[in-house]
Amino acid sequence: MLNDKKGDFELGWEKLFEIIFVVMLFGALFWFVGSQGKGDLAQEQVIAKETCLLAASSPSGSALEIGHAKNIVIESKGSGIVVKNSKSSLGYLYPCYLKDAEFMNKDDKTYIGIK
Amino acid sequence: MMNRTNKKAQMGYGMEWLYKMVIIVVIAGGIVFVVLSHYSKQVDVRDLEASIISRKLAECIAPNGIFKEFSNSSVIECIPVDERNIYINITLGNDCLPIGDDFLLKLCQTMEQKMKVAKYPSCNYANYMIIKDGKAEKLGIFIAINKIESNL
Repeated sequence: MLNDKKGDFELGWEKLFEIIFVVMLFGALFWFVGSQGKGDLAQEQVIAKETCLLAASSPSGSALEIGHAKNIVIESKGSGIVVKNSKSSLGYLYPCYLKDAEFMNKDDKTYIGIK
Repeated sequence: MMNRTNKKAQMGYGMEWLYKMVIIVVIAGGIVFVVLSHYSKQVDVRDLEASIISRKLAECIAPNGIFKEFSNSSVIECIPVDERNIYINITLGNDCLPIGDDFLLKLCQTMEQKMKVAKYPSCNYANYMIIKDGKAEKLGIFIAINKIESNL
């Protein structure tokens, strides 16, 4: 009887672990599918490429004002442009043709000074 | 006897658990793969980039259509390019100025011959009329952009 109870208990932990693992895995999966479905990756890509084309076509001495959602961060990395849809995101890097450009993020706007 | 049976049962349970986990991971991995391949499609902007670079170079070589200078350093000064991912060939009269990876030129020539190239560059050729020493001259700018990973 005692042995049976112990056996049941061990089986319970194993089942619990299995359930937690499966729930976590599918939770992560749903989060991933949801974020991709909302177009997070596509949004970063399109903003990075649009910004690159705008900056590349602007004459030196000009300033760009780009309006976007508040969570979007546009930065420069070398001669490329990085767009992140949250501060913790790795972001999307697009190699561009920037030379001494100044970036300034302010809530829902990013100002780019082309030197 | 009892111990042996328990061990066998435990092993069987372990195998069943492993089997279930492998199936779950394969299904989850499959969903991730399908979603990633569907949503990570790239927008190809290389043609636009090439025409922007071409116009910018023409403006640097001949501001307002009047010839200023034509050298490797002036081109690099005009627009910072990654020479591994781009090929630029500027022709002005008998002068020719190539910059970057000339393998891209060969790929463009291959594509012109209607041959299929799986990972193809963007090839752009533009002509501009400029004034040099009081005469009209043709400025030809050929640009091939690779950047396959971020555009195809």
